[in-house]
Amino acid sequence: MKRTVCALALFTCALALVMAGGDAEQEQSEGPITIDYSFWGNPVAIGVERDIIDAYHAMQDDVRVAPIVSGYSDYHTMLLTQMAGGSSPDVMRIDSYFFQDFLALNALRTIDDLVDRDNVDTSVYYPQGITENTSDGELYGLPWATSVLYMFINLDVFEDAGIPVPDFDWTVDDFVEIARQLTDGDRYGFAIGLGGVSSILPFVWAEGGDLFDESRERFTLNEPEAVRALDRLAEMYAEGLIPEDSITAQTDTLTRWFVNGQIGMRMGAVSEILSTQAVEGARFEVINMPTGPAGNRTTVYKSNIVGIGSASQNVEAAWDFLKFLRGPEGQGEELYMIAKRMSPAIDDQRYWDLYADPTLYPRNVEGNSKIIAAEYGRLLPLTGGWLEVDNLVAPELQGIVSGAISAEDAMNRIADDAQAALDRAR
Amino acid sequence: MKRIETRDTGRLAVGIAYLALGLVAVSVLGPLLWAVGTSLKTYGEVFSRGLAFFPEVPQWDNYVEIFRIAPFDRYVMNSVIVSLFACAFTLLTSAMSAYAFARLRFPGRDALFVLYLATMMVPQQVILIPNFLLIRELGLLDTLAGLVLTRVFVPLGTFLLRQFFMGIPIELEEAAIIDGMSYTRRFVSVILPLAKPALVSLFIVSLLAAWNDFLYPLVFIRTDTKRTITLGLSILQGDLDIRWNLVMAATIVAVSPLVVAYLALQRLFIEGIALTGSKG
Repeated sequence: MKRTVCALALFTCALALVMAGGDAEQEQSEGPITIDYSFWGNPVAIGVERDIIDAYHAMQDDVRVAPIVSGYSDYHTMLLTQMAGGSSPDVMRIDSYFFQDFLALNALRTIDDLVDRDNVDTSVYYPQGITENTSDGELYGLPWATSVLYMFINLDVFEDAGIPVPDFDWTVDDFVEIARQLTDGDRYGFAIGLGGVSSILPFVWAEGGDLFDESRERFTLNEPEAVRALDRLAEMYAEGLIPEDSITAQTDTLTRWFVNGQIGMRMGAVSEILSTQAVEGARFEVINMPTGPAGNRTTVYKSNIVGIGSASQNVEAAWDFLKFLRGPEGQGEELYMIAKRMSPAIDDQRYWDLYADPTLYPRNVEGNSKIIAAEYGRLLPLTGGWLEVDNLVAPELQGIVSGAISAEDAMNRIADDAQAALDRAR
Repeated sequence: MKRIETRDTGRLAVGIAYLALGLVAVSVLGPLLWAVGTSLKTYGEVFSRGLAFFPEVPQWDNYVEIFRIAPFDRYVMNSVIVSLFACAFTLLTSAMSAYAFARLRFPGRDALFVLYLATMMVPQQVILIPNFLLIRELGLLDTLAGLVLTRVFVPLGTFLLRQFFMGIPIELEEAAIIDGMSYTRRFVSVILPLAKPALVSLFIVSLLAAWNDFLYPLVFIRTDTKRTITLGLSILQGDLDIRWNLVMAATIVAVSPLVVAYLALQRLFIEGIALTGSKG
């Protein structure tokens, strides 16, 4: 009996010790203010953020920044749950896919007043980034990782087939013909991941269709232009220009096929440049998506938001850090560029000089990205309910491309639900 | 002649059974073997020889690298602390409540038991935010103690042990009563020693649940040095450039303590599962 009581007592003491290791709620009566900054990343990305936070700490003594980090896939869930529990970070990064949903929850405060007061020059950013940080004419954050969803070109495969890297004005017809010429035995012209609507929108845009109408209030992926584009992809699949497993392939599978020369072309984000570069001997280029009869702007251009939480009790401190992190005068962009993990959100040659390394593939990333931004880039029609619509469309894409269902039937089948999701979000 | 045919048929059946078991073993061990192999590959090999089981040259440095790029030793230690405390408290609260529900007589006992069991039907996600608020009010947010506290009361544990306790002959307790033992003494000296297999089963089940928990640490823990191993693994996959060789190395490190615990307690675990099952 005594032994049991002793064991329980030890247990309680040990637990108390563990508890003593925890931080109590922050007390900010004296000394520097501590603000929370939340972001996603892997250890390398977190290292870059730490460097920025350290540089900020070295610059001043009044504000300390406490990072809140998780992996991307769980990040927004974590943030939303913490907010629902009344615990909102002062400064937070939000993927633009979630921007409208966070605004609907009143999670961010507008920074217009702070920008005006401190004369922060927002014209230095790529305008697409500012657009994605703006809602109803109000600016809610500063852009982070404004970048392109490129077409990756495997130079070895192209050279082997005797095909030059396409020009910027290549069309969907050219693309299909190139895919046909590249396809040879176990080698395929193109592979596409069908995990989301972003992957098919370039082809839809090329045909003149879109996910929503201009007001972003009506679902339009069931209209003839969009259906035609989806049917075109299904035809490519039926012709054997796209690998059979492509419709269920994850990003890493596409990278494996690409670096092994099993596919000649794939779509990929700027972060996938990193994973492809890391494979020794991978020779590749990044270009815009094929254009079409509806115009040249068929390449997805996307940004993200770094804003201040509406519940922040330390707005001035949060703004000071945000300016350092993302502002034109801050050191944040420079440190991001030195790490080469993303292309610049600020249109400034010195950042490109830091980011782009002409000795590494893709060697024309700077020039091509600038041209795409100016002439071929197009923002996603992000709006409230986007995620819900995306979740409806994505499973249908596999059926369409594999030929199990016609694009028209599939899109008509989900049109009412998609429209309802849009209506709910308004 | 008939006996020979019967013997041949028996051998065939055994052969088919072995073949089936072999296939099951391959399907279970194959992915694990692939994970071990991938953990020893270079990053390039993950893509160039992704389907190959083993690397050309084993990269043992991957196991050093994961501790260099993130404090995985700390993550493992945090998981050990949370899991052991959570298991210990689970055993304590489950055994005590199970004993009460199995042996004590008080008004509304069965109704209370059903009500307690009914909480098993509520998904963890539903009570995440109320728990978050509670832990925050207790000042235990971003502490390992907060994580432990969310796992202290486990209705499944109460249910399992109650079923086991009900199978222990009442005569043993009656003899203890004649010897003048109190409830506490009977519980500690008679019931718990007899329930060792069931307690070990519950320990392993609780250990698995606490070790693999991801949602609660994700929401409750903010500081890097307080992350558990599951959060550490998630961080390794935190961006699009995932180094799968390191993820696999970290995964092997993450599951190793569980495998060791299972192997050490395997006999009692199987015995406990069999007993709680048959007595239930």
